[in-house]
Amino acid sequence: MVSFWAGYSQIFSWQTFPYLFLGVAGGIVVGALPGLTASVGIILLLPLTYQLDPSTAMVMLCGMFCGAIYGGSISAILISTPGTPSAAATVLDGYPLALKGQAGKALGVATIASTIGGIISTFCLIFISPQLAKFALKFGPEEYFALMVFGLTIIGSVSGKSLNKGIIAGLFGLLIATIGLDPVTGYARFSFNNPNLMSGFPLLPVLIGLFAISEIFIQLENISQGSWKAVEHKLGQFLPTLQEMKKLSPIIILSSLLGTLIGVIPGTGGAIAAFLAYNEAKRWSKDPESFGTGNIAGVAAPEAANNGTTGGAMVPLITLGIPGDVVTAVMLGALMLIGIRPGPLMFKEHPQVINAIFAGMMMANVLMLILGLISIRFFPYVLKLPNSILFPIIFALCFLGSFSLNNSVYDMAVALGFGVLGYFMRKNGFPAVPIVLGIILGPIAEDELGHALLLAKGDWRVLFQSPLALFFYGLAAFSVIFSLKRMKGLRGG
Amino acid sequence: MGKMDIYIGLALIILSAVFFGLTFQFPKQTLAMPPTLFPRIICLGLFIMATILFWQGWKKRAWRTEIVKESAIPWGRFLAMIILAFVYTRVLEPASYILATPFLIAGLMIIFYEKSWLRITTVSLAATFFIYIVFRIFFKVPLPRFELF
Repeated sequence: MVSFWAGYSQIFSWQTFPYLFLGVAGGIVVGALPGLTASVGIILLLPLTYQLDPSTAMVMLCGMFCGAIYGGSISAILISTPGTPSAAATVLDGYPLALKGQAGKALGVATIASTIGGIISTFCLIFISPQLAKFALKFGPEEYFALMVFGLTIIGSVSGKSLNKGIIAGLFGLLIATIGLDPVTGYARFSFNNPNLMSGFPLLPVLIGLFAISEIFIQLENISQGSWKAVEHKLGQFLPTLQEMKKLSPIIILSSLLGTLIGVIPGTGGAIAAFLAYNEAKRWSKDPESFGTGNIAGVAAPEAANNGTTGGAMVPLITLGIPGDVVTAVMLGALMLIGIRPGPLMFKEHPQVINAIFAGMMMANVLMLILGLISIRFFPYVLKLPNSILFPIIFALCFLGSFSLNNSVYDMAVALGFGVLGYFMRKNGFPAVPIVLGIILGPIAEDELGHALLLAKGDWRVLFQSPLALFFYGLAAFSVIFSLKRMKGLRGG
Repeated sequence: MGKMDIYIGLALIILSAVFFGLTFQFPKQTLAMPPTLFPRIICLGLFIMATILFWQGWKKRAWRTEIVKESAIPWGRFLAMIILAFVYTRVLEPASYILATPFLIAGLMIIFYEKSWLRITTVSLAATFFIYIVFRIFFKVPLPRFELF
């Protein structure tokens, strides 16, 4: 039974609140530093959180998620470099405002808009997800298999410029996932009699390698080309006037709702929502020419929308077990690591975790407002942290994090191997997210397919007899067509 | 990227063919879904997509007339980082966390263009201690063979 108040009483306990606080504060710092995204932040936390109880771990990860998406706006405004991809649209008006000496106000509006966006989306998460989960409880193995097929088509949306390379990365992830014991017969596939390969590649070192270590290699290359800028502007006043807030309120609320809606659609994410909200704010503005030259609405709209996606993206994750965006794809891995399989059964089997996620997301946004407004003055100092100190420490954290899961040096070697692989893949236009989707969703899809066929005594027609399964195949086909059209649009300029 | 697409496409064609071949070593059984089914479907998909990548790379290579300069990878530092990390995995357990980690961080700082020896020494020692506190004391995560307190 889902009880919002039970979640609140838990997160205000001394065992949980410090972790939420650390998650949000750490998220803001991680988001603010270019090169460290929300996904990297969550991966850095993973080795530490699996020792905590699942509810506390999820609260901390949700805090990191919300904090990092907001934190991306700080470097976008101060140094014209989005800390996370979600903050790319914030640069358009945030940096011109900073150049005008109004960086403080831009940061203040970004903080308020992000908080409102996050709170509205959390309300939607609280109201939509239990209903959707109730419906999803009726799914059998054939429907789950169809759902996983749909989940895998998200690969198309996160493929960047080349759909082919995205699909190859996804298939490569699926192939990696087949290494180890077969879920139906228990036969050790592709293990070459190596005991380490019997259970397949461990998920945490793979995630650490593909996302965090490969990112550090990329930063090494960027640093050699001297890509970061110094903060040289005055902050000015922090808070907008009441009149300005009155003017911005409808933009913030509508952008938050738009962000939530975009977030619910699997395979989208904060960057798409932010640019859409920015365009809408510009389209409905009485002064569209001022956008791009330092209009405060150009900061409020994308920031409300990108934090609006946080709650929205959690809906498909916790109700259906498919990720809403890149960060929730990593969160899906996080849930698996702490021993919870996301999906409708989570509402039945782990209601305390669901309560903690709802209350944690809400409180994370409130904390984000308090911490954000208090620490605006210190943001420029965070960005002055030398790369020669930051990245070696992060590398050491990643490396020891991969060791700590099983106290195994083999896991560290796996993280290093996948780090090198991830780096060369990214250098050659292969995205890392499809590999993770393949590794996580592949075994579930195979497991459900096996169950469906066993129950139907090997009759393959069972996969196409359920209307719900057909609905998901239809969605999968739509998703593929949408991705193909998007690619065509990208190529056409 | 045309040339690289050819090499990667070729490597993936070989990889998928080898893995497909390996599935013939799996035991035959009469259950609804044999263990060979899923890997074979994936290998087949990978083979097709890798062939397309190879073909796309080949076409690009044929059209390309001018040499496009790719962004420079600092190979020396990149390799030094991999070797340092690999050596760390070998010495971590025999030497213990507290003795091995300062050298890892110091080495990485040098690779990341740090020149001040004072900073390298203080940061590598302080960071080792900080990570120890975070892992061992705050989150109760075990570290190799050493207990400071």
